[in-house]
Amino acid sequence: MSSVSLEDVEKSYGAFTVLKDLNLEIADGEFVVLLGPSGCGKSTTMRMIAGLETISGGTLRMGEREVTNMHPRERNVAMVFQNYALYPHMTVLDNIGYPLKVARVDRATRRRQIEDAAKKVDLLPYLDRYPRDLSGGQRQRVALARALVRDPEVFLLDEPLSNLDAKLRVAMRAEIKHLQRSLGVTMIYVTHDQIEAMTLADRVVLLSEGVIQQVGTPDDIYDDPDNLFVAGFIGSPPMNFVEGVARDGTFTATGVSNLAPPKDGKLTLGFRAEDAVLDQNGRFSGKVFEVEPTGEATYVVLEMGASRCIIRGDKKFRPPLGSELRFELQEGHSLFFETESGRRVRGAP
Amino acid sequence: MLAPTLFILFITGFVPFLYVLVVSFFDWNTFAQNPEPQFAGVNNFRRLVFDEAFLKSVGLTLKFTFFVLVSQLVIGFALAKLMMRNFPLKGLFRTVHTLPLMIAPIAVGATWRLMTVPGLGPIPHFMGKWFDISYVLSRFPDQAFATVVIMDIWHWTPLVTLTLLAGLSNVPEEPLEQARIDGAREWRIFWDITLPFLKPVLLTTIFIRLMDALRTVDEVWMLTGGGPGAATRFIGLYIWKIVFPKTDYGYGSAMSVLTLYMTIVLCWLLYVAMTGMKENKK
Repeated sequence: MSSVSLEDVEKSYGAFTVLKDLNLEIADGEFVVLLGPSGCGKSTTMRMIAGLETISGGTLRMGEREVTNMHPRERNVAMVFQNYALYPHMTVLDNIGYPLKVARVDRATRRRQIEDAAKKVDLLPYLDRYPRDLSGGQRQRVALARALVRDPEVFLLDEPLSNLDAKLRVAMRAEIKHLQRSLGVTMIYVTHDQIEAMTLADRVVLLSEGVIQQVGTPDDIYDDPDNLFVAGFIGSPPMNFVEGVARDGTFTATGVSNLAPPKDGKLTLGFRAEDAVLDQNGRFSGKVFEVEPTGEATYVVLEMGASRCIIRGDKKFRPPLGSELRFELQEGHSLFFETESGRRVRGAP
Repeated sequence: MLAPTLFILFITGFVPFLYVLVVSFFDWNTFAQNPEPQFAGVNNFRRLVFDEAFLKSVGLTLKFTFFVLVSQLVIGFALAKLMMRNFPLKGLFRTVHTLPLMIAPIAVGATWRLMTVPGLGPIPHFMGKWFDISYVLSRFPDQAFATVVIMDIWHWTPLVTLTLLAGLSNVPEEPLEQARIDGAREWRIFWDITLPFLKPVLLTTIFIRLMDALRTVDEVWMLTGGGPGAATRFIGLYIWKIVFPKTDYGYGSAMSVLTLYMTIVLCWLLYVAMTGMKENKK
């Protein structure tokens, strides 16, 4: 196992730059998730680490080795592709054993290592089958076993769960996390699913348009987002935003009164649905637009001027449509952003 | 819905075959003393087995088939690989490279004939000028055979290229990348991953070319007429000689039936060899 470090890494196709100034330190044994909407460059980043894409600029290191221009086979990484990339004409046994066969490991050792890997992912009874005879989850596990079998420096997983159905995804999520913990391996995981990112990661790297937006623990990026993009991307329902103007120490927006901003100018107030508490004397108000019960709670969609906000209420809470609701935010849970640049404005409100 | 197709296939395919099969059991030569067909049992076939000229034809045909098939597969694959990449004027190259396929075999034969006529064609001229080789098709059997092989390669390689190109572009990218990450070198990836993906296309291509090569007639007939001597007299040409100038219909039919049988057996052997490879590995 080893650490991975990217220094000023860049990727461009001709004149078109897709990734720039990527700086990231991944510690030995860490589980890092690259998260972002499609086209943000997260898969490209992973493919550069794997060596499937050339690196246009900067340095990539694994442990002490510089691997920037190395061929994939010299980097000793293992990768699990979104569609598993199994070899359809080989049995499960041969699929898992292929990296060993290529490395000229002798037959008996190979067999033992394959069985070890297969045992870790409960595939022992299926070794003689072909990929076409397996279910999606089993194929996924074959791909995992093939990665496990060779003791690589780094594990790379490219959206490995997105082809599975919802229930299986949750189960495999736990399995992958458990596997990573118990083996203590360095794992880099790409996904566009923020729930996966939050549940799996030691640290999340949130990318957008080829630029790292924020790096932090799941709690960090949920509670303390650096900008509007991060705040809006993480969380379900997403963070509420109310645009307004701050002048002479007061923030003015429809449905908001008596709120002290950290600075003057055009600002956007952000708060999460679960941080709102119903309060007759609250400083925030909105008209009930729709009520969405989910079973464990009720989400109320409020109209606050031009923007819509969602607040979370008790599971039995059913306010009449069109009625006025007043609420208050829990201490320290109103965040301010510069409306134009999207940057977070820190400081006590 | 299928009935008309089946009916036409039956009329155009099966009935003539049955006719030839029946005729092959008769002595039937319009120039013989008795020009009427007479039942001869398996006599025609017995005659075949001891007919040295025929056996030589079979050997020549097999040799020819082997050379053209191997060359076409190797060159065709290399060209297909080349065309998977982008290079300037690729579209033009592809069109020009496919042109020989559109020419009728008889015209191909005629063209090559013109190119190889001593004193007129460019090939004898340059062979003499550059390599000091006296190139006379009608005199040197080896030259004739080699020229026939090269002509067939020129004519049919584009077909192999096109089918292999289709096959190559259907090979998914991920298993190849996976193999690269798994540590395999390019040759290894080709043998272990690409080739198994190509196998169905490869098998079909080989079948088509094998059957075509075994029944090559017109190009060769036009270029060398089977000569010099019997140097390029392939089975097809020999059958033609027996059936038309000699009007020995029964014997010619027996040859045709045996050739068909041989083709089927060859294809079957090849099929078993290629699909059996995986079974043996286990």
